[in-house]
Amino acid sequence: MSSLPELLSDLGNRVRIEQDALLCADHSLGAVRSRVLGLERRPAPANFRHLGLPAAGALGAAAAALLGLHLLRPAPLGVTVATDHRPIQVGDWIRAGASKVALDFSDGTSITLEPGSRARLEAIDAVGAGLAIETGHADVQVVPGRGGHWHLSVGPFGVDVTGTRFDIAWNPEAEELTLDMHEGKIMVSGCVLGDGRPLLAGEHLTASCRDRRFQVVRPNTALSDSSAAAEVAVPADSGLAAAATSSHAATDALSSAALGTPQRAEGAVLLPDSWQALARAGKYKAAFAAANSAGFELEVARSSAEELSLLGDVARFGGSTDSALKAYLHLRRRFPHTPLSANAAFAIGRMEFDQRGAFAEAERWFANYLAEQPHGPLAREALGRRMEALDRAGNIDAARAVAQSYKSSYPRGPHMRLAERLLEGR
Amino acid sequence: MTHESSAADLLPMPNSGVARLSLPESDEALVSALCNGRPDAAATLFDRYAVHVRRVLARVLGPDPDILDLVQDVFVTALESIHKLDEPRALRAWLTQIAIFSARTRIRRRTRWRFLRFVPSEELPELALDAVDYDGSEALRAVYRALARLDTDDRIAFALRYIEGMELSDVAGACQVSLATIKRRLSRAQTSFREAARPEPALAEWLGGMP
Repeated sequence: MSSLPELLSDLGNRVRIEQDALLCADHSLGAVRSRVLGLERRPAPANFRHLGLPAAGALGAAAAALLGLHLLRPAPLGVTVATDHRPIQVGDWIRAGASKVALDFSDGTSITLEPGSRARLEAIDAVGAGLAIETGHADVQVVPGRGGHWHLSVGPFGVDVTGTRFDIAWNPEAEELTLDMHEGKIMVSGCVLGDGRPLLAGEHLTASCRDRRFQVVRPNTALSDSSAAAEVAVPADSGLAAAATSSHAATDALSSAALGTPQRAEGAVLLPDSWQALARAGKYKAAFAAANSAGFELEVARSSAEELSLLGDVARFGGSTDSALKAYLHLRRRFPHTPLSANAAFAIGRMEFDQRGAFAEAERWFANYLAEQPHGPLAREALGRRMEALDRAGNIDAARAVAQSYKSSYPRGPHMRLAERLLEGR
Repeated sequence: MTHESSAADLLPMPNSGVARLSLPESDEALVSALCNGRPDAAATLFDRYAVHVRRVLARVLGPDPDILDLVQDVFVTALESIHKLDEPRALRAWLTQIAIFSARTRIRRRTRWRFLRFVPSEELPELALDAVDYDGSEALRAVYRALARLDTDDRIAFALRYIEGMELSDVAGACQVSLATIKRRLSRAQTSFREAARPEPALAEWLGGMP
């Protein structure tokens, strides 16, 4: 006698064979295909016949509202080849043969591929685009101050850009990334660069995943990280020479370069054990100790906006909320109305929320960020955090108002569950 | 970096210019194309997996007039939430999970209707079977009548394991539960199905051989 599972398998086989024959003879999927492709960007349809008219009506209204929101969403940027204005679509490959190919985006951003380069447009929306550079060299000029968010994929590396100008090159054979910053600041991530390293104006980056090394060089300066590397190449005329100088001389150089200019380190010498170098290596506790050794107050007083932002992060990750607050507040006083100042507001809000549990204070800082950078890269997080802070502070009516705004702006955002709970009155 | 870099090498591209690729074979690349809003990606997803989704639904639900609506639901849901798919290589398994979820909802909705009509479930004919002009054999219909008397989750596990012929681990993945849970469900389902099949003459042949 067969076992029960064997008998059931036999029965199941018979059912399967018969079902497959019936399904093969049914050609109704074509009609479903048309419906799906016509509905693909709308909310999932409900099976109205099981819900009754009131529920169906409510769902219909909700669907209409969602569709309305969809239509109200800002249109994605346009992009064309500069020479012939040919439109580019997501998924298109762009190749520069013997001559350059410039891509013009409708917000004024321009990305020019040098001869021999090849890239693919991976994504585009209302505030930016994603471009994968398969090989070659590109000159990137992103228009600043528009809350844009651009992402370049370069081999195993990623480059996040808000507004800046730089040259980037990727050699897939050598697996080497090179990047020259001309203006602004970008974040480079991936492989030996981990979750992200800032790169400032004037800096030159080379990074190789295969060789497990990277190097950031400024005029007369080299900062390198060996934490993930087997060996680190440092030009003889830069970092090693700098290492031979005294920390006092280095501090003087930093100090004199800092006065009166936000690019204080341009042309200055940074020691590998300076707080900046340690911070860029992700060693925040060591960086905070180094900043304290150098005199935290002094560092705050003479730092550029970028360095103040970094110093605040160093103190925060180093465990000192008070020092972080000092750096961030100084940044906001000295460099008001800048994206970094807004970022400092967000960071303060986060500290008030996470470290101090001061929810009303936190809400005020998140609101400040949103007022200064309504479309900034942290806007979604700031709005969500603001809603959460209001909720925690017991200001439910205000939290609901923010929840409505959040739901409209970020229906797939990470705070959506909280927004729905607030809107449902739970 | 991208899934299509090798395909780009084969392109007959001009000296300089723009080339449009046909969609690549891999699920990772298809997911990437969907996330990026590539216009032809949704059609490719449907063409690649519609038959699979309909088959999974048919295995679980049996003859049901709403299967095509459910296929539509599955794909619209998938297109709306493709960005939530963490592992693009698991696209097929993910679609299977959505299909199972839809089927479970459908079964439970039927059960609620029975409850609202205050009629013992065993006295009710299957709504779906009444509603469709279905030309399957009596044995096939009897199997699904018997399955309709099982607990919903036990029924799904039974259908995927014995009718679709899936491996235990795949059944667990499709139902998003542990292997141990699936084994328990199957054990219950075997016993329940044997009891539920007794009143079905068309299944007497199998029942006769059952231990």
